[in-house]
Amino acid sequence: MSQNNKSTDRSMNGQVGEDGNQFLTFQLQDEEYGIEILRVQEIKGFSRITPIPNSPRYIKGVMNLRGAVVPIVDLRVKFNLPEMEYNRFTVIIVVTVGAKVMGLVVDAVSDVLNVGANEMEETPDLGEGVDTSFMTGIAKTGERLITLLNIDKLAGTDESVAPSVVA
Amino acid sequence: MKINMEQFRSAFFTEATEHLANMESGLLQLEHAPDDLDLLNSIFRGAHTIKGAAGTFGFPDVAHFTHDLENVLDQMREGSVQPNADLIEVLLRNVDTLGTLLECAKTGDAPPDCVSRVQQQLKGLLTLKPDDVPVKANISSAAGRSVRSYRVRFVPDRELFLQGSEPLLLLRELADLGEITETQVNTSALPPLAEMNPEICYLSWTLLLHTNVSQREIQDVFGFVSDTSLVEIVHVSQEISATVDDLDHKTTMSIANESDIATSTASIVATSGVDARLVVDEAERRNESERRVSSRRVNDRSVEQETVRVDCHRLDNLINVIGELVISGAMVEMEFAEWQKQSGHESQSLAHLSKTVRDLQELSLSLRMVPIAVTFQKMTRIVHDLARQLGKQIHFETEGEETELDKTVVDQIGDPLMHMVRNAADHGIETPDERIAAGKPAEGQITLRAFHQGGNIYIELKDDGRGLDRQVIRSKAIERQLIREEDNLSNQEIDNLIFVPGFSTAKQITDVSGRGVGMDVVRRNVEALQGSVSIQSEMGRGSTVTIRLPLTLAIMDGLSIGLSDDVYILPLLSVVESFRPEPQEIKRVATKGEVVVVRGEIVPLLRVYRLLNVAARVTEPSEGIVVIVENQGKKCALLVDELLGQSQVVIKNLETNFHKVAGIAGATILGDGRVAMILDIFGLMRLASNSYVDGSRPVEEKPTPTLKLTGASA
Repeated sequence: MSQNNKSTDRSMNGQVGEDGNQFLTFQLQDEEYGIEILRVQEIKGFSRITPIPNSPRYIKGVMNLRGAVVPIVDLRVKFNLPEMEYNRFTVIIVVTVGAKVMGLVVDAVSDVLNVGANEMEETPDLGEGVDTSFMTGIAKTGERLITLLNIDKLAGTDESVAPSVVA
Repeated sequence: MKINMEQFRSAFFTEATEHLANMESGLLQLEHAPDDLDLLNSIFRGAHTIKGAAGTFGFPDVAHFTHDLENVLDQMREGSVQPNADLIEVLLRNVDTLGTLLECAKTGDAPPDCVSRVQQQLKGLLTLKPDDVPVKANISSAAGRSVRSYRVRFVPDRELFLQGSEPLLLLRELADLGEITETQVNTSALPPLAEMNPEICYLSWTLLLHTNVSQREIQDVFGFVSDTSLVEIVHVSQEISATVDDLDHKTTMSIANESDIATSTASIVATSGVDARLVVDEAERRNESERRVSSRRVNDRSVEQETVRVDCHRLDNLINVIGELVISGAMVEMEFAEWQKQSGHESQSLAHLSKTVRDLQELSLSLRMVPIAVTFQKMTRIVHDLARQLGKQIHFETEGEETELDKTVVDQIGDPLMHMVRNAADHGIETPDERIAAGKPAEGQITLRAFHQGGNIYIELKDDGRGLDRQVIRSKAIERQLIREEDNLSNQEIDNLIFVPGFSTAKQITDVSGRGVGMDVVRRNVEALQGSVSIQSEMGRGSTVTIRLPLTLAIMDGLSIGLSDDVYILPLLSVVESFRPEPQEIKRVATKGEVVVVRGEIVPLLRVYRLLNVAARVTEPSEGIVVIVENQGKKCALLVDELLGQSQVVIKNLETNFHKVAGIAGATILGDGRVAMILDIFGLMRLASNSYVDGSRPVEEKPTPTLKLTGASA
C-alpha cells in the first residue's frame, strides 16, 4: 500500500526516488524501455482492435478487455519509430493511468528488473528535438541502458501536457 | 463499533435530508392552502423527527435550531399563528438554514454566522405572540384537544448504546410531549455487578404519559430505535391508569419524575451486584421479552415501506456485471448456434437462458430509475423565490413528477432545468403591469411537465410570457457572426440560435440570469446525457422549451451498419428509413454539397467514411445504402456500405478510459467480442456543417506525432 503510494508520487513528479524500484522492461525497435511494475495491470497477446475514428495515429483503436473498452496506444507510432506488422510476439501491456486503463503495443516484453537508486540517473539533457518530458530517468544495469517512462505524461492524462505531447 | 455509528449517522443524514425536502414542499403547498391541517402536521412531524434524531445522534446545534422551528409550527397548528406569505418565507429560509446546519454537522464544520441571525428572526416570530407559553403548559390547556393517557413500555435493545442511542434522551423527549405521571424502571434483567457489561442496556421502562398528541407522534419519538427495541404504546383511560403498576414487576422501582432516571440508573447499577433478588427468574423474563421483540420486528417489516438503501456503486457494478453477462450470453449463443448447425442437435434450453438473462438485464436497469419529483420540487422553490425577488406573480405547475428516469439523469438534469426555469421566470414572464397592458392576466403561468413518448422522456417547460423576439435574435446572431446576413433561416432555426455558444441577447445581464447565457450550457448538459433540447416560441404568447432524454443511459436499440470491415451502430430511434438511392436521386448542389431527394424532400447526404476519416467499400451512393436519420427536427442521409441488423447494445462510455471523440457517442461490445463504435448523429451533422463552413474537414487537421525520441538511449 505504502509502496504503491510512493511509486505513484514518484511518477507524478517525474523524479528518481531515493530507493530502487521494480520495472517491467520491453523492446521497441532495438531500444529498451521500462515502466513501473505497479502500474502494469496485465500483459496480453495481441487481439482484435477496433479503430477509433478521428483520433491521433498512435491510438490504434480500442480493445475489449473483459467487457471494458480500452484504448490501445502503439508506442512505435507514438515515438515515431517505423511501424511494424503485428505478429505473434507483439504484446499489449495493460497499464493503469489514474482511474483509466489503457494498452500499450510493444515489440516484446523482456523482463522485470530491480533498479536500485544508485543505478538510476536523471534524464540527461538530450538537446533540441528530443522531448524528454515523459522520461523519468535512465537506468543502467550492466551494459544495458533502459529508458524509464512516466506513464502519466505518456498517456497525456495530465490535460495541460496532452496537447504538447500530441502536437 | 465506530463503523456502526457512522452507518447510523449517515442514515440519519439521509433521512433528515428527506424530511427537509418534504418540509420544503409542504411549506410551498401551504402557501396556497393555509388551512390544510394535514399538511401542517406533516411539516411538523418532519421537524419533530429531525429534532429528536439530532438530539439522539449528538448534534445539539441542529436539535436546538429545530426546536424553535418546531415551536413556531406548533403554534401554527394550534391556530395561534396564521400562516401567511411572509411567515412561510421565513420558515423556508429556516428550512434552508437547517439544511446548512445539517451539512455542517455532517462535515464537522462550524456553522456559518447567518444561522444565529435566522434563529433570531425565528425567535422574533415566537415572541411576537403574547400568548406564547411553554409548550408543555399549552398542551394540557389547548382547547378542543382531549388529553389522553398512554402507557408506554420501552424495552430498549440490549445493544442500544452501540447504535449511538441513549434512552435518557428518548425519555426526555417523551416528557416534552406531555406530562409523565408515573415512571417505572424494570431492573430485572440486571446481572450481578461482576457480570455486567457497561455497554449493554439492561433496563426497561414503563411510563404513564398524559398528552394531547396522537399515538403516532409518540411512536415517532422512538423512530430511530423502533427497529430493534420493543415499544408498546397502549391507550389507557383515566380510570384505569391508576392500575398501571399492577404489572407483575416485583422488582420495579417507582421514580418520581424523569430527570431522576439518570441518577437512579446509576444507583441501580451500583447496588445491583449485592441485591440477589434482582436476578430471580431473569432468564425467563428475558426469553419472554425477546420473543415479543422479535414478533414486533416481524410486524414492523410488513407495515413499513419496503425499501432498501443500496450504495450507488454497488448498483452500478451489478448493472455492469449483468451487462457482461448479456455479452457473454450472446457469444455463447452464437457458438451454440454454430454447433447446433453442425451436429444437427436441437435444444431450447439456451433460448430460455437468453430470455432470463434479458429479463435480468431489464430488471437491473429499472433499479436505477427514480422519479423526477425531487428535481421538480427544487424548481418550485426557485420560481417561488424568483417571483418574490422580481416582483412578479407566477403560478407554477408541475405535471408528471412520477415519471421515472435514470438516477444519473435526474441528478444531472437539475442544473440545466434551473437555467431554463430562471430564464422563463426572469425573461419570459413579464411584470404584472406589462401583462395587463398586453391583455393577459397579471399572474404568469409556468408549467413544467415530464412524460414518456416513444422510448424517450420529455421534459417540457412552458411559459405564457413574452416569447422570443426573432428580430433581436437574428440581428444579434449576425452581429456575433453566428449566421450570415443572407442566410435564410426558418423561424424554428432562429429560435434555436439561443442555444449556440456565445449567444446572448441580454443588454444587461441581471443577477438572475443573462438571457441566452446558460442556454448553451443547457444544451451541452443535455447532450452530455445523450438528449437534445429545442424551443418553440410565439412572440407575445410565450415559449416552450423541450428536453428529450433517453430512458436510460446504459442500453439502447441500435442499427448495425458496415463500413469496410468495421461495424458501427446507429441509434435506432434516430433512424427514419433506409434505402438504396437511384443515381438520379442524388444531386449535387453548387455550394451545399450533395443531397438526396426523398419523395420530393431534399435531404443533405453525409458520407460517413469521410466525416470519420475511415475506409469504406462504397463511395458511390447508388451502390450503397443511405440511412435517413433525424435529430432535433433536422434530417440527413448517411451513406454506408451495408446494413447488418438490429440489436440492443450496452453503451460503453469512451471517456471511461479515453476521451470524447467527435461524431462518436460511445462504444459497445458485439456478440463476437469485438468493439463497435456508436455513431452520434448530432455530432456527425456538426462535423459535416463544420467542414462546410471551414471549407476543409476538421478531421484532416489530425495531429500527427512529431516526437523524436529515437536518440534517447544512444
